[in-house]
Amino acid sequence: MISSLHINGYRGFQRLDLSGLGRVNLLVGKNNSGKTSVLEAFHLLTSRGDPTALWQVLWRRGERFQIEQDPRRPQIDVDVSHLFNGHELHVGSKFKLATKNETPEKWLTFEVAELSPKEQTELFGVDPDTAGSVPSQRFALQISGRPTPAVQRIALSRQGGVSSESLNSPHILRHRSADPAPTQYIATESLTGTELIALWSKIQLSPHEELVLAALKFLDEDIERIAAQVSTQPYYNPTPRAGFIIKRKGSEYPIPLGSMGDGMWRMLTMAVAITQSKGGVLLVDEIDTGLHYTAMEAMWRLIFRAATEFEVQVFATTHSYDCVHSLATLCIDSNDAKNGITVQRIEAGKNKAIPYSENEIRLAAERNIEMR
Amino acid sequence: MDDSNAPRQLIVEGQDDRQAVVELMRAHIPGWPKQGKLNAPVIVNLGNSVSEILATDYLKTILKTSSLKILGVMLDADGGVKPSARYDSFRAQCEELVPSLPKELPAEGLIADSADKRIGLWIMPDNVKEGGLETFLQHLVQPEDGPLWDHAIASCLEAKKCGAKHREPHHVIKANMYSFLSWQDPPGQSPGNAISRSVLDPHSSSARPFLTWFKTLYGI
Repeated sequence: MISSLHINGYRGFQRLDLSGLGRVNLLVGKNNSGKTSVLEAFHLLTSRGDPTALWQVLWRRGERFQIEQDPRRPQIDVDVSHLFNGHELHVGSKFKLATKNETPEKWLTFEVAELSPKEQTELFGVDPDTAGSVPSQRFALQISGRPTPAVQRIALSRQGGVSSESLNSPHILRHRSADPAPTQYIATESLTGTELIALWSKIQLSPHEELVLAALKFLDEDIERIAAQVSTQPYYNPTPRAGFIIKRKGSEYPIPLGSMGDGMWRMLTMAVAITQSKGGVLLVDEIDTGLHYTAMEAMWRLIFRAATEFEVQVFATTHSYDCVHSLATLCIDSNDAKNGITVQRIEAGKNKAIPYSENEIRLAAERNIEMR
Repeated sequence: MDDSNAPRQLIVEGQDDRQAVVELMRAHIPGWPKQGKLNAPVIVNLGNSVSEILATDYLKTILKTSSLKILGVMLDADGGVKPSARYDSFRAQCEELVPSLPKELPAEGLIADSADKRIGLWIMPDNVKEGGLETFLQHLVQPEDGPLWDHAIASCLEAKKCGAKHREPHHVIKANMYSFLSWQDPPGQSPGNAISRSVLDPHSSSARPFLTWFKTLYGI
C-alpha cells in the first residue's frame, strides 16, 4: 500500500505532500483545489507512466487538439503541456511523482527533452520543405522512474501533442518489465455499457460475481440476479447504459439495469472495478455521484469490505457532506484498531494535505465538525 | 453546520456559561446583535463538559476546520482540579498544531498563534484560583446588593445544618449565586439574564481582565 505521495510540478501543484494514507482515502477540498489532479498522479504513478494511462488522463480532461490531415480520418492528439506546472513546454519542463516510506521507493518523472536531429530524421523522415536548412526544434517526453517505466521516450508533435499512432510506434523504446499494479479509474461519468460489459465478462460466473450482486443489494434488497445482455440486433447506437439486466424478487421478467437509476450503475461499476484491481489501486472521482445520502453508508461498507478482500487501495474524491461524514460509520466499529481510513483535505497554497485520522473522522461526524 | 464553520469560535462547557459570555459581550462590544447569533462576531458553541472538550483529538479536529481562524476555550477549574492541571491537558491536545504554547498558563489568559490559526484559553475564574463561572460572577454583584449577597452566603451555611447536600468547596459558591438569583425580580433568572438586566454588573472592574482577554484574542 502507498503510505505517502509527493508531487512536484504536476499541473497546479508546485509541491504537494500527502501522508498517513491507508486502505480507503477520501480527498476533499474546494473546487479547483486539485483533487482530480491528485487522482491522476496516482494513476500515472501506479501505471508507471504507461502511455495508455497518459492518454486517458489527457483525454478525460479534453486536453486535445485535432490535426487536419485527412478530413475523412481526423487525427486527434492529446496536449501534454497542461501536465506541467505553468502550462509551458520547454526543454527542462519537468514533473515528479514519488512515494516514500515504502521499500523500495517508487517514483516517476516526466521531462521535456529535445530530439536530436538524427532522432528527428529517424522518426519523421527528412522534411522536403526544410531539407538542407537547420531543422526546427522538436521535443520528446522523457519518462524515467523506479520501477523502470514501460516506455521511456515519446516524441511530441510540433504542437506539443501526442498522437495515438505514436503511442504504438515501433520507434518507442519499450521495456519488458513486471506488470505495473492494476489500476482502475472511475471518472465522474461512469463507464459506458460497452466498457463495463468488457470488465464483466472477466468475472461472470466466478466467485466475484457474488460481490457485485451484494453491491447492488445494498441499494435494492429485492435484486436476485444480474446478467449481461447479449444483443442479437445489429449494433447500432448503443445507449450509454445498455447491456445489463436485473431480476428482481416478485417480478417475472428481468428489467434493464439502466432503468434503475444512476446509483445502481455507479455501484455496479465500482464493484466490478474493484474485482479487476486486485493488489492495486482504485481511483474514483466524485464517488457520491448518483447516490442519495441514505445510500452513502452502504456504499462505504461495500468499498471497505471489497477493498480489504481484494487488497485494493482506494482513493476517492467528493464534495458531499454526507459522503464524508458517513465514512465515520466505518471508523466507529473498532476505536482502537487501525482500519486504514483517512480523509485528506487539499488546500490551495498549502504544500501538505491536511489529514484526518479515524478518531478525528469519528469526532467530526459526531460533533458536526466540517472536514471539507 | 454553520456554527462549526464560523471563523471565530468560543467553546464553553454549558448553557449558563454560553449565555453569561454572550450577555457580557453584548454589553461591551458594539455591533454584537441584540438577539440571536446571526452576525455575532464570535460564535459560542457548547462543548457539554470538560472531559468532552479535552477528549483526545477533539480540539485538534476542530482546529483543522478550514474556515476557522480563531478558537477560544473557556473552562472551569472545579472538581478539585487545579487550573495548571487543566492547562496541561489542554496543551497536550493542542501543541501538535500550535507548537508555540507556553509551559504555564499566563494569569491574563492564554493567546497563542500558529502559522494560520490562533488559539486561546481562559480558566474561570481567573486562571489562577480554583472555582468556576459563579466564582467569577460573584464579583459582579452590585454594591447596593451587598446585604442580600451576604444573606445568600449565610442562608447556605444555615441550609447545611438542615441537611443541604451541596459539597464543599466548589458547590458552595454555586449555591450562593443561585440563592441570590432566586430573590430577584423575576426570581430564578439565569446568570446570563441577570447580566442583561444588570442585576450582575457587566461593567464591574472585576470583569475587565476576562474582557481584555476576549477582545485581544478575537481582535475586536
